[in-house]
Amino acid sequence: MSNFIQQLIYGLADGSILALAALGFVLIYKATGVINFAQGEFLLVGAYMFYTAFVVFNLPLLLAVVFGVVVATVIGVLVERLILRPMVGENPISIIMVTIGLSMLLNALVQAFYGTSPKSQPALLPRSSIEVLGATVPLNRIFAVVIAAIVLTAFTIFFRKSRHGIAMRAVADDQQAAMTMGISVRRIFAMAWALAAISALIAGVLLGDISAVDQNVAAFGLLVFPVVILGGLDSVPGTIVGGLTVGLLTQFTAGYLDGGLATVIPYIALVLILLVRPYGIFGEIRIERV
Amino acid sequence: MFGKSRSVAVALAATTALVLSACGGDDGGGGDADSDEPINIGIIADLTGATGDVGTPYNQGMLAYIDWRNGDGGIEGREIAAESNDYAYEVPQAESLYKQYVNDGVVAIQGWGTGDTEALSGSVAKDELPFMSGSFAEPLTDPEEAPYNFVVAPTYSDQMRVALNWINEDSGGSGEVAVFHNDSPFGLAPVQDGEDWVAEKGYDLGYAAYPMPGGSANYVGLLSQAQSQGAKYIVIQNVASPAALVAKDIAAQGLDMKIVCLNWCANELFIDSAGAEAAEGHILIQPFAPLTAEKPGHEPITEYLEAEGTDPETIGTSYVQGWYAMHAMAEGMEATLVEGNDLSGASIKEALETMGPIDTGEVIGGGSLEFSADSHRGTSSTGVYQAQDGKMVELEASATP
Repeated sequence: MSNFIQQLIYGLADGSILALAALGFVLIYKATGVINFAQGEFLLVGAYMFYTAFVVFNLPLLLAVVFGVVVATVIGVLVERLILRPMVGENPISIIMVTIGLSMLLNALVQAFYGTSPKSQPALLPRSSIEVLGATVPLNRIFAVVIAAIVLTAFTIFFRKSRHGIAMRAVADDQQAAMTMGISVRRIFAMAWALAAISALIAGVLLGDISAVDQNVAAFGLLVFPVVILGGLDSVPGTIVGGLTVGLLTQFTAGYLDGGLATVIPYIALVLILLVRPYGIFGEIRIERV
Repeated sequence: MFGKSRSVAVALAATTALVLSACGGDDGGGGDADSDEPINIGIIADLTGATGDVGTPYNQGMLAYIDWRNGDGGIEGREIAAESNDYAYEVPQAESLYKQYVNDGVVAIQGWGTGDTEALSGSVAKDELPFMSGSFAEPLTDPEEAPYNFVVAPTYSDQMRVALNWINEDSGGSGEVAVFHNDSPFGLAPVQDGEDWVAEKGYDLGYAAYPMPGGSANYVGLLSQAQSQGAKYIVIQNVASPAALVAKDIAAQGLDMKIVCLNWCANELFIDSAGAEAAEGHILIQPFAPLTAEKPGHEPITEYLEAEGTDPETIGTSYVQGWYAMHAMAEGMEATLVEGNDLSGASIKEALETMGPIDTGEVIGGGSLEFSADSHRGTSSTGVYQAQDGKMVELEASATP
């Protein structure tokens, strides 16, 4: 029983971070229709930006967070303005290829500036452990779940209650109608990329703290694809369900079956979900009459 | 008809799969014995791939050695001209670089990973190009199987044997061993040989292997399986980052387990990434003495670094490995020229097999490498270290199976 609880909490922690990472992916897709294959690298860049502020510049924690958020926002806006906007109207495969290129570019830039060695940074979250139903659980995992829950809740409230959030939903629903209502679609696109970068930053910082600031952050971020296929490409609640499901699935596979299988099980799930629910659990089903 | 979301989802899945799946020349480089032309060699390096954390300093160590040697008059008055390129730990890219180097007329090649070294083994034999690499897989030591491959350290299997000997002694002759390994040819290289060794020596040690999922944020799942096995010892055949994560998880869980790292995680990166506290007490099977061990063979390295304005304390074991891998190759070339032979792959191979011990100033295991026509196993001797107060502390300088 204690082992089960342990795997459960670790799986939830990983799943929460995945949900944050996937949130950015869904934001971009909902608002702009772009599938961002560079989402894993956004986590990587976020983790390294925070490391730069906190360790290299030696800024206090809060200032380092602000620095990270500002840089993430700038990167998100620049990517949208310089790389994606010229692609408006191109076919989806071309845009996918551009984001794959972007992922390689971001990866190369991180390696060029920081090298390939893992970076050490002081622990942000407590490293001590507590007993939960007989299982030993580090506090940093519980904090990760709580922080992810707070951020996801804040984003949900933002979309439902704030003017900008409602404008984003309007653009996601119907760009033409949104424009006739005076909403700047360009501004919404930039905001979507900026918010995606910020959610990736938070995920990257959490991941960097509980594991390490290194290239593996991007590899972990690659798991957003099964998450969004599971939850739905355009569903914010879907990212939470998808993230937690993939996190738990991977954790229990590693804990009870096989480590090698744990690497591929999310993608097996991805294929199975595509076969039975191609829009994901919460994805919007569009019926086109011809 | 599919709707937009469905089409996009299918395209996304297909592209994901694509991304996941992606995740004999002239003798210009050798020439006559009395030539003064530069000696061309090719280097296949992992600078940006899955093992870039250790591949980069290894490559830097090789290039530093070349720079130092050239500054010291080269090899019998001839400079080494090395071309180094990144292959990002992708075997097809290594094969492509290999062809490029052959066309460029190199006389020897320095490679890196087990997968690519084994894949190129037949080609280097056909093209008669001596090949050393960062892979210490056992099959590469057999001249029958791999006539042009030379292994400059104890093999992963020998390191595993030393690890199991140490575990057998430390456990009082009875215990359980879990082997956590990278799920690749490199990771699998010593696994079966380790199991065979336990049987051969009649050790009362349980033995089970677990592939480590890549890109994982924790290894608690594997540790719980190892716990169920009753394992008190975790031998890790992987690079430093995942090994450090295992150490962190062991510390967070308060588990009574000791890690025994082989070669590529037995380094300062492991200690730094895990943190001194989480790394404390774990064992490191490291054939190449770290600079902190202050062996005679470290002197040229520290002198070079200081001349370059680099603090030796910032330099890790992988750099030392690269330096001495290149040293072994250069010594073979020098022996060829001293004998008055033309510098070709075949003559370098012959020199390496007949020249006797190559002194490493006590840096590699017992202090020297020696190859023969019957064996390309340079040494079976390795250092055994322990992480103490954030440092690698030598327990044994020259342990052999």
